[in-house]
Amino acid sequence: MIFGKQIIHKSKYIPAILLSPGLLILTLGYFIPLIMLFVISFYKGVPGSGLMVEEFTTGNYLRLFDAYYVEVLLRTFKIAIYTTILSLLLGYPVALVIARSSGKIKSILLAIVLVPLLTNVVARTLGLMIILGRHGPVNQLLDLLGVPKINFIPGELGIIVGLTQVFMPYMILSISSVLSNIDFSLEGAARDLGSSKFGAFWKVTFPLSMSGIVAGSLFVFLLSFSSYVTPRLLGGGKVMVITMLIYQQAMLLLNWPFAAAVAVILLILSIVLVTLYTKATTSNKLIDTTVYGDFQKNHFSFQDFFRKINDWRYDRITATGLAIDVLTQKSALIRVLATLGLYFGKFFIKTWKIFIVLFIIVPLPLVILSSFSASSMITFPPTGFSIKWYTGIFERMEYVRSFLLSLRLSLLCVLISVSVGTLASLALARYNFRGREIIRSVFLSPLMLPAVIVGLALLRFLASIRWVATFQGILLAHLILTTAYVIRTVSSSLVGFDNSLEEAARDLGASAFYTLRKVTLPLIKPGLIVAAIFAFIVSFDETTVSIFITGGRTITLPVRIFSQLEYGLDPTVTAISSLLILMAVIALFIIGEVFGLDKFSIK
Amino acid sequence: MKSKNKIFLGIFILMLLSMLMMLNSFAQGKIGEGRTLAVGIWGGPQEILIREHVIKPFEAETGATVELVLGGSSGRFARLYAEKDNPTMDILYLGLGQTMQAAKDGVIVPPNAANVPEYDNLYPQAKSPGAYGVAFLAVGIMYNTDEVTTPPTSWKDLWKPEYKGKVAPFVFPGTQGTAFLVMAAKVHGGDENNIDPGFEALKELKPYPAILSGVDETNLAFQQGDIWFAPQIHGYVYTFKEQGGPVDFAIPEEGAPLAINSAVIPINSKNVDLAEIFINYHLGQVAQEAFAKDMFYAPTNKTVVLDADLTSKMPYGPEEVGRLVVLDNETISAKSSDWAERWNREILE
Amino acid sequence: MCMVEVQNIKKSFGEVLAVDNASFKVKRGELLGLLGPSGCGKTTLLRIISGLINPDQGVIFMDGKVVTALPPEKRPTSLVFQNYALFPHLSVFENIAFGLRIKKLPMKEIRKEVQNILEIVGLLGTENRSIRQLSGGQQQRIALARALVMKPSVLLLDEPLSNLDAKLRLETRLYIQKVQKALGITSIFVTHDQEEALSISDRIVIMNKGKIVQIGTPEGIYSKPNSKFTAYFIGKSNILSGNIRSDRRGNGLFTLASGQVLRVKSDIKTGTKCSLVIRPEYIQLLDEAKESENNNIFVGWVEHITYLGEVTYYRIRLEGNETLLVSEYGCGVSKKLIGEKVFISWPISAGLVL
Repeated sequence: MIFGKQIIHKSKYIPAILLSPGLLILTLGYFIPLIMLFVISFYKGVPGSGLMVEEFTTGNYLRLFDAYYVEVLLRTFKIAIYTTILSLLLGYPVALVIARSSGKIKSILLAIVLVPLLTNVVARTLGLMIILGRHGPVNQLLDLLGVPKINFIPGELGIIVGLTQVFMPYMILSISSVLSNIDFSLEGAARDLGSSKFGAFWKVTFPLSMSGIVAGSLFVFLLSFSSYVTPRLLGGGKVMVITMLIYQQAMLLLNWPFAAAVAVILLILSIVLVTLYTKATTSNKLIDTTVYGDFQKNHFSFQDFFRKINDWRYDRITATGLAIDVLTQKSALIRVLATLGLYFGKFFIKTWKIFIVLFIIVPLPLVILSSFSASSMITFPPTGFSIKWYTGIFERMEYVRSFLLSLRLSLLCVLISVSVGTLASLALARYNFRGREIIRSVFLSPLMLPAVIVGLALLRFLASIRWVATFQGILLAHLILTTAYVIRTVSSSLVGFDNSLEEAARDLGASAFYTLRKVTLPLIKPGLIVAAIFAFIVSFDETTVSIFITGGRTITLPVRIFSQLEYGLDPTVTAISSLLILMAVIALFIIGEVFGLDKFSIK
Repeated sequence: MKSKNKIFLGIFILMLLSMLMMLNSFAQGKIGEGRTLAVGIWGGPQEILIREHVIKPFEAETGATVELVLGGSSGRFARLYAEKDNPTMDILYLGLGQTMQAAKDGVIVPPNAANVPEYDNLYPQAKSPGAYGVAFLAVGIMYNTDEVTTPPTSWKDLWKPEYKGKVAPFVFPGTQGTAFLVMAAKVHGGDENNIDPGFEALKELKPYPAILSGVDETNLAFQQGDIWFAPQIHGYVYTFKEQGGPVDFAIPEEGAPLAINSAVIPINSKNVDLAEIFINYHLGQVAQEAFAKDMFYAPTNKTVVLDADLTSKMPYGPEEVGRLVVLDNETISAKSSDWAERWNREILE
Repeated sequence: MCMVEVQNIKKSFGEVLAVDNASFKVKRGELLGLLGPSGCGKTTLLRIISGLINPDQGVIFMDGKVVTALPPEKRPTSLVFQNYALFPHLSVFENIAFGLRIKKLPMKEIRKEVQNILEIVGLLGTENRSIRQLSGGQQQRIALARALVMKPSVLLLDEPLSNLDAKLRLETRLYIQKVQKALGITSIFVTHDQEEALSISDRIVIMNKGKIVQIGTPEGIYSKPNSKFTAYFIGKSNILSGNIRSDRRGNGLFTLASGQVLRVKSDIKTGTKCSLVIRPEYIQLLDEAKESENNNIFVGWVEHITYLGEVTYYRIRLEGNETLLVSEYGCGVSKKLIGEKVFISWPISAGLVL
C-alpha cells in the first residue's frame, strides 16, 4: 500500500544512506572494472598477443552483428530458458512437498536440497558426466528396457539436464519459502466453493506462489545463462555458448578488446531483461491497493502497462481454473477420466517426486563412493576400496590452508553482504524514488554477467591497485556476487511484508532504528537466513572469478580443486568433496536446530 | 680490577660480541633471506614434482620461500599481460606459442646464460621460443588398445572409413588442437600458410565423439571405449597407460609436433635473481630426471641421463628431438584469431 | 479549550487532491466521527493527524502545541489500525508492552499496566497467547488495548469495525463508546458507515471528495443536512429537484419538474434551482386525501415494498413520475399492496430546501 511509504522522515536522503554501502562495494568491485572494460572494447586487439593498440575503433562491435554470434547468443538463451522451465516443472512439486511437510521431514528434505549446493560445482558436474555418459547408468537402464540410448553428452540436452540438476535447488528454495506462507486452508475454502482439487490449487495456491516462482526463475535463468563450467564439461567442447566464446577470446586468443565488446553487449542485454522482468512481475493485484487505487489517475505509465499484463495473466489463470471446474462438473466422462487419472496421477506423481529428489542428490553419493575407490581414476562402478585419498588430504597442508582461507572469506562475506544487502533491500522496498528499478537491476546484474568477464575486468582493475592475490581483493570480488543474492532474496521476503506493522511500531513510539530491530528484522528473519546461506554458498563455491585473482598464499579451496582437476583426475578431489558434503550436512543440522528449518518461510 | 682494565675488558667484550654478530650475519647472508618467490605452474603431479625436486633445494640454498600459484597456462598467460606493470608472479610456466608471443611482445626477461648455467646445456629447440624450455612434449596419436588392432603409423590413418566417428580432435586453440589441425593440413597438401586442407580434412571426420580439452575427460572417454583416436601429448598417454588405461602412443611417420613447456620471468619482476636460480634447478639433472620418471616429460637438457626403459617412452637424445616437427608458431600465432573464427563456425556444431 | 485543532490541511498525491483545506476542532474527551464515502480523504486525514503522513499545507495543534512537524513517535496519539497491525511474532503481552518498553518503564510497572488494560478490554489471561490464536474480535480489542495502554492524549481509530461481522460490529461499537467515555480520552474514528457514526459519535465531520462538508452533532446533521450530499449520505432521504419561489403569504412554493407544487418553509431566494429533502419517516400513508394547513398531500401509487420486520419501506410513484420513499414503523403498518393508490402526506416544516 502506498501509504506505507509516506512515513515521515526528516531527511529525504534515507534511501541514499541505506543504499550507499552497497553502492560503494559495487562501485569499487564492479563499476570501475566495467568502465575499464568498456574503454578496452574500443581498442584494437593484436592477434595472438595480449597487447592492445590504444586506438579508437568500433570494429569489435561491428563484428558482433555477424549471424554466427547472434546464433551463439540465441543458443545460450535457449538453453537457459529450457533449463528454467525444466527446473520449474521438476522443482515445483518438490517445493510443494517441502512446504506442506513439517518438522523433521521438512528439515531433512530441505537439507537434501541444500547440500548439493555446497558441493563443488566441478565435482557435481563430473558426477553427472558419469551418470549421463554413453555408458552411464541411465543409458544402461535404457538398454535393459530395449530403448535406444539417448545421447545426453556431449550435447545441448546434457547441458540442459546438467544445469537443471545444478540450479534446481535455487528454484525449490525460492518457491518453498513462499509456499510456506500460503494458508493451505485457502485451498480448502476454494474447494468448499465448488472447485476441484486441481482447480483449487491452480486458482489459489499457484498465483499466490507467483513471487517465489518469479524469484526462482530469475535465479535459475541468470545462473544458467552465465554458467561456464557445466556447459563446458557437458557440452564436450562441441556446443558453443556465449560464456565459452568469451573465454576463448579472452583467455586463449587474448583478444581482450573483442571479449570486452561481447561483455558490454551482454551487460546491457542483462540489465534490460532484468528490469523488464522485475517490472512485469511486480504484481499489484495480489497486494492490497484499496484507497490509493482510487486516487490514481489514468495516464499511461509503464506501471500501468505492466499491471495490465499482470491482470491479463491473472485472469488467464482464473479463467483456466474456472474452465477446469466447469469441465469436471459438466461431463461425467471427464469426471471418470479425471478420477482414473487422479489415481494414476497420484501414484505417478508420488514416484515422480521421488525421482526428482533422487535426481538432485544422486551425484553426491556417486562422489562419495568414488572417494573410496582404490583406483586413481573416477569410474563407475568404483573399483576396490581405499581411504588413501582421505589421508592424502592431511598430508597436503595446502588443502587445509585453502579450506581455512575459504572459510574465513565466506564468513566475512556473509556478514558484510547480509548487512549491506538488507539495508539496500529496505531502501528498494520502502521508498519510491526515481530510477529505483534500474538500481535494482544494477545490483542484480553481477549475477548475470559471465564470471569470466567479471574475473577479467577485476583482474585488470585489481592489478592497477595492486590488490591481486590479496585477501581484500578476493573479498571484494565475492561481495559483489553475494550482495546480489542477498538483495534478491531479502527483497522477495519484503514483498509481502505488512507495512502497517512498521507504522504501528512508529505510532507506539519506536524510532526508525528500533522498528527495524524489533519488528522488521525479526519478521524477515527466515529470509535473512536463506540469504545468509546463499551468500555463504556462493562465496565458498566461487571458482571462475577467483581463478583470475587468487594466487600465492591466497588460493581458495575451489580454485585449488579446479586447478587439480584441470590436470589430472586425482580422486583427492572426491575425498575433499565428500568431506565438504559432510560439513554441509552438519552445518545445516546446526542451523536447523538453532533457527528451525521447518519454520522456513519468507513473508 | 683497576678501573682502566675494566674499561679495556668492556671494549674487548664488545668487540667480540660484534664480531660474533657479524659472523652470524655472514653465515645467514643468504640472498633470498626474507624474500618470497611466486611461481605459477600447473597443479597435480607437476606441483608435487616441483616441490620435491626444485623448491626444496632452492629454498635451502637461498633461504627464500616459494609460493605456488596453480592453474592452467591460459590464465597465467592472461595475467602476464594484465599484470605487466606489477607482476604477482616471478616465474610463469607457459606453452610454446605463449612463450614465443611473450618474447615477441617483450614482456619477459630474455634468457641469461650467465645466471642460469644450465642454459648452455639446452637443446636449441628449448631455447628457440625465447625463454627457458623445461620439458619437451610430443603430440602424437593416442589410440585405444581395446578397440584398435593395428596401431596407426600415419596421421592419414585416422581418416580410414572404419574409424569414422571414433576420432576426437582437441579444442582449438590449444597445444594438441593446434598440432592436429596443422598436421591434418600437412598430410592433405597444405601447411601453416594454407590451412584450408586442414579444416576440410577435419570436417570429414565428423561426427566427433567429443572435442576434448582435458586429460581427465580424455582418459575417461578412452576407458569407456567411446574414443579410439585422439591427438595427445606423449606424457599423458604413458601416464594413463601405467595406471592401466587401455591406451598406447604412436608417433606417425610424418612426425609428431613439438611442444615445449617453458619458464618465463616477467620483465618487472622484483626477484629476477632468485627466479634464475630457481629455473636453474629445474633444468638440472635431478629435476629433469624426476619429471621424466613421473610424467614422461622429455628433458630439454642435453646432459641429463635417464634409464633405458624410460627413454623409450619419450623423445630422448638429439636425434629423436630433432625428428620432432617444429611448427611455424609465428604464423600460427598471427592467424590464431582467424582460425578460431573458422573453428567456431565449421568445426563446432 | 479543544484538544485537537486541524487548520487548513491540504494533501495531494501526485495530481490527486486527497484532502482539500480541511479544518475542524475536537473537544476534550469528545468522540468524533470522521465520516464519508470511500476515497473521500478521511483516512488520509486521520493519518495526517497521527503523523504517518506529512501534509502539504496546514497546521495541526494538540493541546495547544503545534505538532505538524512531529513524527508519529513523538506525538501524543495512538492509532488503532484497520487491520489491527498486531505484531505476529510477539505474544499478546509483548504486543501490548511494546510501547511501554520503548518508554523504558520498569518491568513491574509494565506488567501492571498490561494486566490492567487487559482487564478493561476483558481479555485477562491471554497474555501468553500468540496473535494467530485470537479471533477477529479479540484481535481488535488487543489492538485497542495496545493503543490505550500508552495513555495517549488522542486516540485514533481507523475503520475499527469494518473487519468484524455484523453482530460483532454492533456490540463492539457500543463497547468502544463505553471505554472511551470511561477513560475520557479524546478520540477520532474513521468510518464509512453512517449508522455507526450516528450511533456513537459526539460529533460528526462529514467529508466528500477531500473537502469537509458538514460538522455537527448526529441530531444536527440528520435533521439539518447542509447539502444534497449530506442529506443523501446520512440516513435515507428523498431528494427532489425543482425551483422555488415565494407566494404572497411568505411561504415557499417548490415546483417540481413535473409541475407539481409543494409548500415549503424556506428563505432561499426566488427563482433558484434547488433541492427539497424529506426524510421517509416524516411521510405518512393515508387512505384518503385530507386537506391540511400544515401538510403537503399528494396522490401516488405503491411501486415497491421492502419489509424489514420492524420497519417497512414503501416506494411511491407520484403523478409526475418522481418516486418517494416512505417508511412505516412496527405497529402502525398500513399494509398497503403493490399498485395500490395511496395518499402521502408530510408536514411542511419537515421539508428542507437546499
